[in-house]
Amino acid sequence: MDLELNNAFDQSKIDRELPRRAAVLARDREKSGRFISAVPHQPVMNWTMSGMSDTGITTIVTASAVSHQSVMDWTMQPMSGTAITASITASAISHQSVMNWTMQPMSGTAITASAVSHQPVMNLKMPPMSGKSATPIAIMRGVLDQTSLQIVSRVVFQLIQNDQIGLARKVLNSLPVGYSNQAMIDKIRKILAPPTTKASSRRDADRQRDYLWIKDHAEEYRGQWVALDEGQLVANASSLQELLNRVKQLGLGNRPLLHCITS
Amino acid sequence: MLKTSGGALFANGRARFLDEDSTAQEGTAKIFVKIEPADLGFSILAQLDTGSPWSILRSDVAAEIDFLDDLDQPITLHTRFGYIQGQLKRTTITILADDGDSLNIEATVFVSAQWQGGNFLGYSGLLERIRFAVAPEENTFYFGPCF
Repeated sequence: MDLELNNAFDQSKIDRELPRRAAVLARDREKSGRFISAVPHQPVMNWTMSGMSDTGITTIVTASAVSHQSVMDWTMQPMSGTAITASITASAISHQSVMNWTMQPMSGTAITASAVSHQPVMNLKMPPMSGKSATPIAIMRGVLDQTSLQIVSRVVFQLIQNDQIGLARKVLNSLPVGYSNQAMIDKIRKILAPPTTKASSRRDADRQRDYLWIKDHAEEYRGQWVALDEGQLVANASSLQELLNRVKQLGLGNRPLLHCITS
Repeated sequence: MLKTSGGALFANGRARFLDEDSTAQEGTAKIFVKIEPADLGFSILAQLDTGSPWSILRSDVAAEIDFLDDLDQPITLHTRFGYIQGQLKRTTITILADDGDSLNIEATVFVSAQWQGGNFLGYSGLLERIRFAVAPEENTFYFGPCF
């Protein structure tokens, strides 16, 4: 499992896979008239819809990974629909991360496999099934174990690395309430929480004269840390730590502005 | 300090900013505002960068406040220096005012020993919850909490 996920999270693999996947989906749509919605604006990895046969007059296969989602390793194995109207809807649904969702061979009419909204879905396998109007709905509430939480955290960090901060927050918020106390999840929640602010009456000195010093003398102190106060150089050093030591030794009345001149 | 057209307070702090890094290789104007990371005890300059997904602290600043540990999940971000591995840390960053109120922000910042750049104030985890405006004719940065 972990190995597979590591592979799935490999950035180069994602970069390689997405255009290919988009091309396959576009081709399938053009050829069969099937509506395959692979999620706009979303990372979709390893989503496979294997060969399906449909002998009916109207077969509507809607594999909708849905908007605002990450979908990884979602596999729909060969399916056959012999009814006149076979409507197979595999919907990973909105506001969800879906990982390793496998739908095994099945046949039937109006099969709706719905992976449930507002939940991360992981390792959901739907065994062979047949039937009319069968609606397997996989509700994952309450079955997230430690491994699943690790997966969620990986997904969240992958989203962060893709600069999808809003989506990462949504994934976290989709976790069942009972998991809010998990230390690992709490840590991620804290990191991803929107910033909070508090006004402070504290003020710093107007540093215009220090800024002028920087403009006038930057060339002379390239690569140096400088401490400035009232337009004067108080101390300089080749490292921040060294500068801090010097400034503290000086016992200045005002706190100087510290700045590293670009080398 | 600075009010909306409806008379509501928009920003209750302001500070002069430095508008250039004369030694930088590309010489376009920038906005450097005064900040104080928690536990540093001194003000430093950070470049305002709304295009940056995260705020970043210089590696030596991060080291000084003991942020270059391995206690948090490593994360790789794409930066102007390529892909860099580091960590996201929650901390207090204060934007310092010359006039009005300073602003303490419980923010998330990216730190990495590999980071060779300066300090940046990015959008996620910091700027996304503050109001700010710039008066370029007087190099003044107005800021305040987003209610």
